Amino acid sequence: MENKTRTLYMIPYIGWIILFVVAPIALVVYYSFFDIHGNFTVGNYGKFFTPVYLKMAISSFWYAFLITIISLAAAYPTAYLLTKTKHKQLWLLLIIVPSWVNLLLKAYAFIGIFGAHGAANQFLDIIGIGTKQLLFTDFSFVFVSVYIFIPFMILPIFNALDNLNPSLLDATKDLGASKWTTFRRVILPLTLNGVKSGIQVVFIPSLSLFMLTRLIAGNRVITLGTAIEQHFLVTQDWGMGSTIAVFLIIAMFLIMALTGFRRRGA
Amino acid sequence: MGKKSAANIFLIFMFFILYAPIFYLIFYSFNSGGTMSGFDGFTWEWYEEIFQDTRLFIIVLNTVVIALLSALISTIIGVFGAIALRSLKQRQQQTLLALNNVLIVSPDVIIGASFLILFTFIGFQLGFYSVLLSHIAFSIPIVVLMVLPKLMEMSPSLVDAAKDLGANSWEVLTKVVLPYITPGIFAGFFMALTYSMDDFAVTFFVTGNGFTTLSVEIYSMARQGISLTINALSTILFLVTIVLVLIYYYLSQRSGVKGVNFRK
Amino acid sequence: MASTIIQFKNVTKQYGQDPVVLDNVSFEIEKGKFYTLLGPSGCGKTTILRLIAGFTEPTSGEIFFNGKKVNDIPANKRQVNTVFQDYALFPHLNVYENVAFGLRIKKMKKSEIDKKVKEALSFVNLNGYEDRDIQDMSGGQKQRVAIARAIVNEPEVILLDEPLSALDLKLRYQMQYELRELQRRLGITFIFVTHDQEEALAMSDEIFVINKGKIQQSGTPNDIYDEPINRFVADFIGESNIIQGTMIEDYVVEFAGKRFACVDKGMERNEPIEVVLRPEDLEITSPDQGLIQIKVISQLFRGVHYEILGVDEQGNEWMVHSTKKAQVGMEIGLRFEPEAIHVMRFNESEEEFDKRLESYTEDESDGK
Repeated sequence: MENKTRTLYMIPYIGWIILFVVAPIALVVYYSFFDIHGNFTVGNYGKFFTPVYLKMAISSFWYAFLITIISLAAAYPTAYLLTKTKHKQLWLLLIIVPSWVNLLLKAYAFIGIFGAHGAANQFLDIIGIGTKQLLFTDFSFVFVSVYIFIPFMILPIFNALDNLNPSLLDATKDLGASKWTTFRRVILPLTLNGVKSGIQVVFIPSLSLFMLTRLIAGNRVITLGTAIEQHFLVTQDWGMGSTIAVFLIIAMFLIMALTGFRRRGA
Repeated sequence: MGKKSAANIFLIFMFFILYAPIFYLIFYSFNSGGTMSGFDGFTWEWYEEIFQDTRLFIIVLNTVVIALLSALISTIIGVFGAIALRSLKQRQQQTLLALNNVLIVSPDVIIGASFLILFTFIGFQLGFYSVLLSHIAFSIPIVVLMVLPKLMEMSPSLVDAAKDLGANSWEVLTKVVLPYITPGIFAGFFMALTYSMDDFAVTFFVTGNGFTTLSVEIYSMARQGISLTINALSTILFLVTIVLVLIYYYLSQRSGVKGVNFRK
Repeated sequence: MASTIIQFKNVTKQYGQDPVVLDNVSFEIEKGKFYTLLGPSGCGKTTILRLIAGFTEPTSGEIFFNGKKVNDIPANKRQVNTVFQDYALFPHLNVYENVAFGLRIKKMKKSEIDKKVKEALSFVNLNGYEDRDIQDMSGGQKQRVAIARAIVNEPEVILLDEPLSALDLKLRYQMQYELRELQRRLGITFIFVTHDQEEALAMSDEIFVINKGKIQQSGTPNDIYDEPINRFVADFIGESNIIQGTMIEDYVVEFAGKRFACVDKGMERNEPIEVVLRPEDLEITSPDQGLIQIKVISQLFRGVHYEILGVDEQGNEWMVHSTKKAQVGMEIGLRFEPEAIHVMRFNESEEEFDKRLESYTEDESDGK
């Protein structure tokens, strides 16, 4: 391609990168050095390391970890069994359709299901456990988050399993391996990249799910995302909000470095 | 045989878990009782309410306009960006791609908060245009990622062949490159459309007062507790989603885009 | 006499309602020989391999391994190893670990694994490549790793599924020699699947020619080349001129409008048959000296010989391989010996065919 045309094509794209990728991150870092009155300070960073914020950060990571592990435990066998079905692409599509339903609507559904007289409590009543407070607990937060993220965990694992060369599995059998050995020595290592992509698309967003904490968990669970929303839109303390955002960005890059960037679902 | 039926039970259970809440919503949208427990009787009341609600109609219109415009503009910028990226050297390409992907992996809250700061910093009025710009911004990298693989798989000799046959740069672009990557462009446009329709967090941050999209409206309705109008709305949205999915499935089957992709 | 290691008894394989892949196939494989299953794609040859390996079960019939029925024994319990068409090397393991894979599963001692892997790698001339990643190996090297991974387990039978098809011509020739040599040194039974007739002729002790789920003919490369049982085998293996004819009586056959002496007998009088004449058995002479006259319609130089195409007066097309040149448009004569004429009956079973051929040799010894 001639250089002139290339430059022409490049201008809007580069403009976008500067304005909407580089500038916002730079501004977040910049704002993190101002207090609520607009004075320059490093106090926000000091504040982050006080027990209140540290506890919140740790619990946010803990919930994200729980959500990721439970999603993985449910998604891997599902993806595996899906690859064994006839018309597997159709079944996969059906698994993914719920992810196309607006997240807030799904959260809203659980307000009904986990409500005092909702389906979940009716079920508990019937099997003799009796009604329980389900809504506004950390259980409901984890459950709903896992529900929302499962399709996103299934897809990359499914693709990894589906791309596995079937003659490799024949070869493993041919060399005397049992089913378990085949899984442990060949299938799992070769689908690890799918698992990593899945972890990436679940762990990072679950650090920042403020709408779920508001709708489902009451104020029982406060994630880093909740705190950022709180500071930006409620208390208007943009400096502290930006500081938390900086830590979330750092966490994001750390996780990326650990799992490697891959195209979603690829 | 026992193993097989255990596997089937597990899959059926997973499908049940995934679909039960959605059908729960749909079921109660016909409940005259006004709650999501205890079905009192059948009614169209909540649907009538929606169709009489002009405010809601305007919000739906806003959402669709934002989605279509942002998908269109981000597709144009993204496609030309991808074409330019393709012609760069490996290292520059890697750097730009890394920047490209920042917005894809960033949590919505970060995107929303940082865009809010950006708009405030440059003194941009919050409202329709800030939401539109934000949606364009987070859709561009998705389009690039959908188009770039198609470009990469295109043999460079195709372009050479077109030039050899006398095509100028413009003809190479419109007669060879764009037709070749059309499936990627469609997939990118469609993804951008669904990302935009479904976005809540980013819009929530940059919308200001007075301008609302459907997601934001649902959030504020849901915060006030159960209202079966939301159920009726979700039934309608679910049906629209199914239609869109079918169109997308048809397109992707026809164009041979492998696997099904989706938004976050 | 060599002992039988694998036996198929009336094996049929069918997937669901699809047409049968293997149709009532029976054969025996003897220890220590190099076998080739030869046929066009989709003929069922790979299915036979997968049945032996245990990747799939027969729909009906029995498979014996060393006299024991193995229909239900899974692949990981069989004394057989496979070299796959796409090599199926594990991309997450290096060369050493790929070769060691089977031994590690057998929980062999580390020192012993080390010894055996090194030995297997040196067998395929890959010493020093232990730590390489699979991705960094060339096609030919991957091929060797795949072979090493199979032989290191000391199986009684090695199955090779078109292992040379991905290699370029020169490397393919070289690997043909190496494989043949390897089989002699190891003394293991090799079962080699290919659609390349030259490869089959060059390497095998025994060839099974397969088409449409049936074994058409089995025998040594020479037998199959010289005495094809039917049109399919004659056409598939080597170049041939196949002409419709009539068996007038024993030792006299009529085709191309003339009668010729031949060495075949045992057919009905005036039985319609087909005659095979190999292009290299035809000799160019002047028209009046020739047994058949053809008009040359095209000629190609093939390096070793000229390939001449011509038509006789009855419209039969003839292919001739000759070191002599001809002129397009010229009339030439063709000469051939009675032994060059090979007569094929329609729908003759392999058993009947073998019997007929045997009777000729008996005649020869009687005549002496």
